[in-house]
Amino acid sequence: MGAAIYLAVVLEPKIRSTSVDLERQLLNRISKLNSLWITSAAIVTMVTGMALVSTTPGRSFSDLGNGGWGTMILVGLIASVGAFVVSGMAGAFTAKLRRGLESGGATDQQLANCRRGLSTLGYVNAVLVVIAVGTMATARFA
Amino acid sequence: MDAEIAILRLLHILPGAIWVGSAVFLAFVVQPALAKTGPPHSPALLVHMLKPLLITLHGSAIMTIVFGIVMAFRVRDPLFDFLWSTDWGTMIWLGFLFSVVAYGIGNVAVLSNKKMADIGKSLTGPPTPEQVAEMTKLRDRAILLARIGALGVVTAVAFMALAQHV
Repeated sequence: MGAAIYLAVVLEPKIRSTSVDLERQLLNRISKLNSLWITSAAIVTMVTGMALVSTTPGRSFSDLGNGGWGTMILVGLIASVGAFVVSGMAGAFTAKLRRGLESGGATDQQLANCRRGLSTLGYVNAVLVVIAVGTMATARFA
Repeated sequence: MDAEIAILRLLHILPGAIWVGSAVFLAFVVQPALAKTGPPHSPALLVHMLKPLLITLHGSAIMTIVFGIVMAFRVRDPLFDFLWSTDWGTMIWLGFLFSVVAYGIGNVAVLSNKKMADIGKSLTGPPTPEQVAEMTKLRDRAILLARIGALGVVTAVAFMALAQHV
């Protein structure tokens, strides 16, 4: 979650406010590690979260969507899966932008579209993970 | 009571997740990448990044610690009796200790980054060999401290998360 917010709010806007050369170098160095890092963290969080649901006394997957706890956990689960998908789409945009900057074949308009898409997906991803964590954290009080 | 604890939990856990994720991401992904990019690019980026970085890290860390303390007082009364005499208390004060120390170490890392950014800001042309050496020293120190700080925050989260199960 922190990485997603850090990326959307701090890093990406600031990278764009420097030089294209730096953007290219950083994308080359960060994008693969970044995808690996965020994807691994997301998968570990979701898998252990599901294991926790099934091992919580008195709770099971059949409770999802039923009652306050089940609804909150279901919303959190949907938001986290949504964030995972959005994160994957952002990864595809990053790869496209990196290729465009490296080859020099992309037009300014295409690069601008990629940057805009990446920025929007970054913010959507950040909002979704906040919803996911928030609903999960307060589920037992619902 | 439940609504109050739920809100306190949100105000503790959300910034906590932002703090730990940002700290780990900065220490193990961004800073090493900037180190490989090297001067003059990395100090130039740091100049732009420092303010939002400080707001994100300070804001989330302070909120996490403050609301964590408030919540601890609300869930256990009298808190200090529980802190020293139960396993829950031991885990909580250990988590608190690690988080405060990690926050302090993180601040020293930020100071090193700030000094590096100041050198970058003062550059009017290519950096001299002395400036490159100074920036490299500050960068390596910042990376090391950021890693120690990030591991400290992760340890704090582990203690806090396990507290109610020991």
